[in-house]
Amino acid sequence: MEPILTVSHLSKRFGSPTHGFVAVDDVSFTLREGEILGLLGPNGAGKTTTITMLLGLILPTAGDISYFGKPFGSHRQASLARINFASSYAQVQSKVTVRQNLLIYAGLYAVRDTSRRIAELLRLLEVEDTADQLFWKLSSGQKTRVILAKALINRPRLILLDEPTSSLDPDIAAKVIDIIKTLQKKEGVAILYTSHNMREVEEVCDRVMIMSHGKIVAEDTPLELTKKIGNARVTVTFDGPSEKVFSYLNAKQYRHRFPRGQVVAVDLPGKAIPKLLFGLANEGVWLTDIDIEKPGLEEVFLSITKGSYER
Amino acid sequence: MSANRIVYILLHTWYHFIHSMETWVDIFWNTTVNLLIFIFIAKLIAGGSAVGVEGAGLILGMVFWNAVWVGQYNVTIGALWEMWSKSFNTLFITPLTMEEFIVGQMISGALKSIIAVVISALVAYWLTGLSVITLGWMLPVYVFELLAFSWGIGLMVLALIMRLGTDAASLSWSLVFLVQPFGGVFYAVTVLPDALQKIAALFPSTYIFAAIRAQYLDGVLETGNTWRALGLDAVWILLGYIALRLALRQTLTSGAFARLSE
Repeated sequence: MEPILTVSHLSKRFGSPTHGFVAVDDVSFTLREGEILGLLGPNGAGKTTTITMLLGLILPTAGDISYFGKPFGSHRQASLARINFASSYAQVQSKVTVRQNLLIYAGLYAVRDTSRRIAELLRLLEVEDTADQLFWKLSSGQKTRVILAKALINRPRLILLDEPTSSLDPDIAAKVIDIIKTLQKKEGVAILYTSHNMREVEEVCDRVMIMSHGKIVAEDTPLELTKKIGNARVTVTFDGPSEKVFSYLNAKQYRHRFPRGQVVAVDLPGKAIPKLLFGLANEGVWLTDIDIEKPGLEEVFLSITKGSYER
Repeated sequence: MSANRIVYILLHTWYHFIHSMETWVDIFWNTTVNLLIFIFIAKLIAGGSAVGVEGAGLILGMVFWNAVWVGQYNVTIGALWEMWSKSFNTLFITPLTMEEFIVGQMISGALKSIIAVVISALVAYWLTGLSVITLGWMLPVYVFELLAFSWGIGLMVLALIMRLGTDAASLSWSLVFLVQPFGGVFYAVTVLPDALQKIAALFPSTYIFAAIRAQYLDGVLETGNTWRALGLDAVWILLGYIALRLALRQTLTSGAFARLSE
């Protein structure tokens, strides 16, 4: 399948070669039709600079960007006509109504059947009642949804979404996630997705890239990334004396600690959890509560920011 | 360049205009009040109800100055409104080009300028009997030449705002006033010191206002001045465009363009 977006050795240095800094350092990746790629990283990692280069708002120092197999630099307008972007920092004219704003953007993208498309999007994002209100008068949640409507107006083949659910109520955020998944599944839209909500990223993204200090330091499916983090934590509450538990864990060389009298926390690989629980039960330990914390993207993210992650 | 996208930029400026009291005040209220002041000063100088020759020169200057002021202001303020709304970048992640955006703002500015000049001319006629219609077929020529000059200044001011950011927004409504004392707007530039006359010779306005006064007050058609102004207009627009392209390139490289909407 032809990649919708191909990024090759993309770099951006700000300032002079001696006193400047490298914001994006030799980044390469592809994004295929119908794929949702998460772009994560701590503040200052280079995510925003990468996205702004992908949108043509910053010129790269080196590297190439291609959309639909054609270089972005020489096919800028044709590329921009087929992609779109939504972010809290790219708004629409505040002193114009929602409908008028969408009409303008529909015109700039040469959308056909404009009125119907606008009505459809306002209904989809549940902001029909804001249509004739000035944009600045909307709540931040309504603004986010109108920006999303703008991002969908041209039926893009690729959407760059930067924190698309920030400032949304949980029910509306869930609806937006559903819309994104539907676009991916039914229309094959590719999405480059950034968010600080790791659960959301795990739920939505097929693949995740994590940036740190301008470089891609990890890239895989959310599941594979979390596997590399390793241990789960099992917290067991039990009845009876703790000596039996202590001696069993020591004998099996499990890393553990007793946070409270009859509670023990054990760090171990996920696949060893059943063995631990059966082992304790066979020793005659009466387990009254079991809590299992498996590592998620949050832990991957934290281990990267602490520098303890290995590719 | 897409005519369709230019039309949508025009529609965008119209939608903004109908919701923006500030723009109404800046364009129509301020220009009319300034004209009223000049009319009453002209009457005071003439010592009666008529404005006299010097007074007519002042009033003609103010009526036609509005074409320069509104035209220039619209090119720059059109971009500033987008920056203040955090929507400037949003426009340029569509297929819209900077040239299409600018042409849209120029046309919008021209329409507002013409309305401002018409209102000013009507007020001047009502209070003094001074009729710009007597300029005949040269009237649209003068207005077009002044508009072209305003576009050149507007492009340069926009280039400066891009380089300096929205902190330099005040240039949008202040820089053009540098032209007023040296650009022959209210008086012949022969009253200026020699060094300043050399600066005045660089402004198209010097020749246009001289031509307007010569035709209106003396009945002389100064086609030479009109052609000189047209040539200088082309130079100003070209220089403004080059400045804007350089500023755009620099801000796209430095990352400042992406921050214009922050």
